[in-house]
Amino acid sequence: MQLVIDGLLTGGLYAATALGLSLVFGTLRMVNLAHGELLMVGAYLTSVLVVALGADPLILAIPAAIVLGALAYPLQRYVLTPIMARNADAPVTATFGVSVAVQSVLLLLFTSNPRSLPAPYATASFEVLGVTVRVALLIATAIGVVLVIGLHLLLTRTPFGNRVRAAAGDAVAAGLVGIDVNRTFAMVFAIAAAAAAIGGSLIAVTYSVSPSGGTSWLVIAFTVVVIGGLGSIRGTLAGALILGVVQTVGVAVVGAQYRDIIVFGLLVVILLIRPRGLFTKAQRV
Amino acid sequence: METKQSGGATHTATSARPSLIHAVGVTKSFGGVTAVSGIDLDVHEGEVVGVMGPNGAGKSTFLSLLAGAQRPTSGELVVAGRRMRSADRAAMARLGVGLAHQIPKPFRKLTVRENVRVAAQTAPRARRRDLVEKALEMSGMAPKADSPAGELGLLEMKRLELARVLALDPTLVLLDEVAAGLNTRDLDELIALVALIRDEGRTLVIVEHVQEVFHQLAERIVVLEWGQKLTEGSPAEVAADPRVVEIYLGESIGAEKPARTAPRPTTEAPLLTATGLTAGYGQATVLHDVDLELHAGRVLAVLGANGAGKSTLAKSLAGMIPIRSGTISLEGAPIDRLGSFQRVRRGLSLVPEGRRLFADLTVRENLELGLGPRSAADSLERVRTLFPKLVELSDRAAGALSGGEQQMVAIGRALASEPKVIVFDELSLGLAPVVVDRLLEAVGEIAGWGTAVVLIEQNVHRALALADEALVLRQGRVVFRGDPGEFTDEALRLAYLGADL
Repeated sequence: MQLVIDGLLTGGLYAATALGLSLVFGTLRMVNLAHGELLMVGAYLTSVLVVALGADPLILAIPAAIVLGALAYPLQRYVLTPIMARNADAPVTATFGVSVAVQSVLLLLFTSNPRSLPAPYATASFEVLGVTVRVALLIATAIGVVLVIGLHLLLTRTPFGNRVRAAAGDAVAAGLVGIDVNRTFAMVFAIAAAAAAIGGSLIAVTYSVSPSGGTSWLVIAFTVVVIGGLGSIRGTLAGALILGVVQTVGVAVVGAQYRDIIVFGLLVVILLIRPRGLFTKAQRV
Repeated sequence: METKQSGGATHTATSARPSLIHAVGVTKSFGGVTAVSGIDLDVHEGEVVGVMGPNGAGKSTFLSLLAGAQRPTSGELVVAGRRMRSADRAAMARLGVGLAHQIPKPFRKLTVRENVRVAAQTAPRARRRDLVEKALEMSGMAPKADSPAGELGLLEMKRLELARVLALDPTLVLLDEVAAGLNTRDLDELIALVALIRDEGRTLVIVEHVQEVFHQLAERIVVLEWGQKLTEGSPAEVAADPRVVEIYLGESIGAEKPARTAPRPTTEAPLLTATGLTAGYGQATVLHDVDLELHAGRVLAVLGANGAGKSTLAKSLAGMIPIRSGTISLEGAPIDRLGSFQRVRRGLSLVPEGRRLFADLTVRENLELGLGPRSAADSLERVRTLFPKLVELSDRAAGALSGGEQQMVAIGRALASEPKVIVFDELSLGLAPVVVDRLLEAVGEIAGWGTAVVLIEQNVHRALALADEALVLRQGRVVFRGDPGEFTDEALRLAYLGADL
């Protein structure tokens, strides 16, 4: 029971961190290899704000999200889009370049020491029905769920969401009804980056971040997205919870040194048996 | 080659020659769709048979059955002595059946000779070198033999594609729209090459939209429609067949033309002007030097056979493809450098071929996406008045609708932005006649609002009945423009089925 609760709460954190990757993949059909760095930059931005303003890190994560979104918009609009226009596969390589460059900049600015965000609830926990609940993970899960629901509603219930779904479904036809597809995609990328800033800050509150820490979080996010069905927002939440439980239970059974092997193993198994994800309807040919 | 009958004498009694293709009731279905249905056909050695028909008639599918790329679902098919019970292209290649594709895809980094050599793999080792050199010689590619295939021009690509077929020393040559995209001069050269292949006594089955190819080469033409054989005969017989004329021009020519609406008045300045429009894809230039001018409230019908450049014109106007030269202006302001979404915002909308609705979104969401900065609050009201049926369909997913309903949504979506100019690309394609009637009636109403309409339509007579002006494209050039009333049936037949018929 304790393990399942721990797993679910870890999964909630995973959902918050994987959301941006899922959104970008689902709409832009692009694997953003710099997603891990978006998480890290978001965490460091929040950390800088905490040092300057001294307020609660999760409140300061909001302005950090806005700043990261504002930085991500031109990256997509003026760098990745022109690259994509020339060669549909090239942006993936470009995001890898961005990833390496951002890691170096973070290293210069913040050294390689891991850093976490201080908060009164960071290490607190309480007990209910004999189960210990870590407060920080509970908060992370709540935020993760809220982000997933919010993003789902944004995509399905708003005119902006309709434009995004139209552009993702048929970019040419979207242009023919007057949608500025490039701007829409840049907005999506910015929103994904903002979500990543929140996710990164949650990582820093619950665990810690370092300039090179993005890579392992990218792998986790990627596994979540594959389990949940590529590009499905609701699937992301389900995938995250499954990964969290499997990983936590697995570690308890076989030992913590196998943590990453469990993640990769699950990724490979899912790719073998359900390559389109557990929650995606089989597509008719 | 000496084993082959000498060609050239095209008028020997064909039935005396051995049969190379023997088809009885050949049918091919994909899931629930029957692409080829119950075709009977015999082709004898040394014959040149043309296969024509509108888009989706099953021509390419039939050819792929002959080539062994697919297996017939039912029926009896014997090609080059092999009973076609399974798909096996390599086996067919060894039997001397070669298929040339519409869009050649050579290995771009290999030289021309290397490409031909790859195609000759199935030939006996001892003959390979000879076959390759002969194929290069005959196709006219010998001088380019050491150039990388990726650097070739379009005509040379087509020559290489034929050389790859010739390297099999084929008894049966299948050509799938090899003339597509060529300009007049290149077309003549390609026809000359195919004639050379024919004169060697090889048997040819030619699928083609470009009618010149048939005029110059085919002894017999098979006409397909909806997967079935409509008729077959000499080119002259086929061109005179009213049923053939009907599938290309719409209604039968004898029928009385519907009453034409009175031409709508012309205002002084044209809304849409295009000059010297030239456009194409890759190396192919599809549209050459097209001029047009359209005033508010008028309907321009753009006619022409498949491959004449009609849809390319629509895509160029809407900004789906960049133009190579020329200008497009809307109300005097140039729009040819703008993206398609900007053109929509300026007031030019396209109802694209195939509708391209957002299938997962509801009808209402599709329509609302069309709303633009120029839309008035009641612009969707106008759409619902035009197509009342859309009201009850509001919450259905667009992908779940029938073809006719989808086309209504597509038109409504384009109208939501209140365009000054609206372009319809193949409005009636694949729709039932009664639905087409309603849609064309709606086009008339839209023009009545003062919208300028460009109507690209395969149903020639219906389109002419509605239009105030007409323009006929042939191989990407305007060959006729003027008052729809001036179109005699003879002129139409000429434009669609070719000059010699």
